[in-house]
Amino acid sequence: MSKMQLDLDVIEIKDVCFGEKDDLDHGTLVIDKKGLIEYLADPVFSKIDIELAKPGDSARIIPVKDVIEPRIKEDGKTSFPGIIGDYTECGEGTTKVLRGCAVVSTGTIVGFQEGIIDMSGPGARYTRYSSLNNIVLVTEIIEGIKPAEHEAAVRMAGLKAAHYLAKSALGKTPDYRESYALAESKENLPKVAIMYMIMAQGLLHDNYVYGVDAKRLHPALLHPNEVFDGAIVNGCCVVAGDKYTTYDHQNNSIVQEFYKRHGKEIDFKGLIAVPTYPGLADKRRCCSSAVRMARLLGVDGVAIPEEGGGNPEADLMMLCRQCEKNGIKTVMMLGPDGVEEPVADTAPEADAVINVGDCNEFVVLPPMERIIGDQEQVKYMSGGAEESINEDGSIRVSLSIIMGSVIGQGTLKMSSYVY
Amino acid sequence: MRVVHYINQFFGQIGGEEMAHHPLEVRKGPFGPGQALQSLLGEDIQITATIVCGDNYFVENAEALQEDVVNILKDEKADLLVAGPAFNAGRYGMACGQVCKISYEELGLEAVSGMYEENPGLELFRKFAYILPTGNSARNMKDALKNISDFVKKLNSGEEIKGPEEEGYVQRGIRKNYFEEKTGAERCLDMLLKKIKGEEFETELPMPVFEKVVPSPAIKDMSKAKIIVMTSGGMVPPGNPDHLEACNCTKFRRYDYETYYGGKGVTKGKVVHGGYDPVYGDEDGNRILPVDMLTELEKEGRIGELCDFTYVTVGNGMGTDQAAEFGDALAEELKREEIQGAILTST
Repeated sequence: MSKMQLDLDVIEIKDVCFGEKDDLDHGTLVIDKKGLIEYLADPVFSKIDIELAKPGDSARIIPVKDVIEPRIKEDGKTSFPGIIGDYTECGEGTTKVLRGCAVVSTGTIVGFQEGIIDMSGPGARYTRYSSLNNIVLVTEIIEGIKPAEHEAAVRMAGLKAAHYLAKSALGKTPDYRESYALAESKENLPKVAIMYMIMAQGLLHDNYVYGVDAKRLHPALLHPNEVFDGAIVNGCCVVAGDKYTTYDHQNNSIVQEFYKRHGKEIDFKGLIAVPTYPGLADKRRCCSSAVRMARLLGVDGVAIPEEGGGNPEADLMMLCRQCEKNGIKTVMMLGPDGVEEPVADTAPEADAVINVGDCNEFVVLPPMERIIGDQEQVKYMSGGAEESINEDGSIRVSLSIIMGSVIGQGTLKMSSYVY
Repeated sequence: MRVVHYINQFFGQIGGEEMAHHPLEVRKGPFGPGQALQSLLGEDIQITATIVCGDNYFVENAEALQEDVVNILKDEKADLLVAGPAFNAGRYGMACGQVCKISYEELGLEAVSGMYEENPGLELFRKFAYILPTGNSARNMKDALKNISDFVKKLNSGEEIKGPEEEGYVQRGIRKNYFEEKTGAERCLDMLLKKIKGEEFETELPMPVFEKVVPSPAIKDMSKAKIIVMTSGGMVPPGNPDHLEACNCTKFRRYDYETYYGGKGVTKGKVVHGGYDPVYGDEDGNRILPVDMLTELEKEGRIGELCDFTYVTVGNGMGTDQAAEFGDALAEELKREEIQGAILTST
């Protein structure tokens, strides 16, 4: 049997600018703005604009819907199998990556739970996207579009823009190559897997696996390379602070960490994708099947990072209880809400939990020279309030409004304690 | 650093219990125990004024005195408030706690106090100050002042104040973020490996044990019962008059259907809950707050009466401790209104 190997040919993007035609020259991504806007045309949009936001800029992007890293298979056709391109090569072969930049979608708000990216100032440290050269899509929609249609249009626009931009990498020499393969472990190392929660709550809380709405899924076994290669796409309006963007799926921190130590400290056996449904029967169906998969893989332990907060904790505890009952060690990773009872569900078996920080903490974000999107929307966003905008233009918000501030895959170094 | 010190009538040498109604006054510089504290604090930290007030007077007029306290702290350009120590004196502890609360909530100033573990002021006000445990009476004054002084010096030095175990203060119950050396992902795998190998590890988040709520006995005769329907689904009146937040909501509100939702048995409202697509609830409020069906049941005589008002909050992102607090307050109101049954809709 041949093993799967994925080579990521990485080109580091140090700057982005607009130009006459699309190009990639010595780390500068040149974008034909008009060409890109034409490519993204959709009758749902009354207007599409593109702005650039670079690290250190006095700029705030609000409200952010998704963030996507431009990646494309060497064939030039596939970026997100099942949505843009084909399935067969997913997770192997060569994929071109524009690292250091991202497509960010903003514009009229779809749902309450969209976020903020500050490119400088105190808010910047709470989000990994402040360190990227962001190509921001600002979209306006025609009247009479429902939130679900709006979300779908913006999601597609973001993916298409990433695909379009990644084409500039084709035929270019990469700065370096990262190879991902789960080589057979020589030693007898602990066998581990990741329970990969996939939002499937409906009403704007959905992710897509190979283009399939997660509400139609049963747990599935995934090779970690598949998520690096665009198999999971975000379509989810959960709280900005703990949401996984498409970028977070492509660059999942816990998956990367497991890979880093594979063959040295652990034997990484793969990902078990578990759809997170709101109903109890579906939770039971998915969690019990996921644990059976873990037993079939014969793992000693699993990490269970959370996406979202509140409701998915029922799934987390269910997975934890059933794993521990079957002798599979668990560590969960989540952001606590509140002090005495910081989670919505609990289990005595949950004795190992990583705390990624408290999204209820307030911060004051200073005024920015440039607002990309619409700052007024902060009043309606989760983490903001009617009173959020101060007279001097600064905003007082909770960290839940900052994109990925308390992301459950453990990207940042934040934690919290009770004093 | 400029400090304002709060003491009661006894330590202000006005008198004992009989003078507990003595009104609030301000004296320049340190006074009574403040003088001993000042000598421990040294020159860098100055007690610039002392507030003296009778215990009963303060506790009974706390709200009215808020402005006075705020003005004194502002006039003195205070960097810190010290209150007490109050030892086991209950009303003194309550007064110290109140002053700390005003200082913390109105001006964002830190406060330091000292109390005996059974002082009721400690549990009620620990959130608003660093309260250092003391002995139960003024006989322990010397130790108490030493501890307060050491703590104030530490605050003045700008050194990071660590957790309650390390620093000796009573846990305030406030969650605070900080940055670790490793990412969450690294820590997660570290912990998993330790757990698999049977090595010692410490969870970063001890799991709570939830209080089990015992359901009330069933209502014997529904045809005579007054029933309320209420929701955490954020179905507010149009325009969201009380500005309920989409996430981490800080309040619940009572609305009657007649005034706010377009009439009895009508839910013409708006969804402000940030956790789901509002389209369907906005289209028909009965999907969140089903008063249409309940009105029918009322007409059929299946329930005695549908309460003509509701309570609304937003459950999205709400900590269970806050939810429990809301629940306690709500239950009191429902009992007062003689409501026998409540239907809670979640989303």
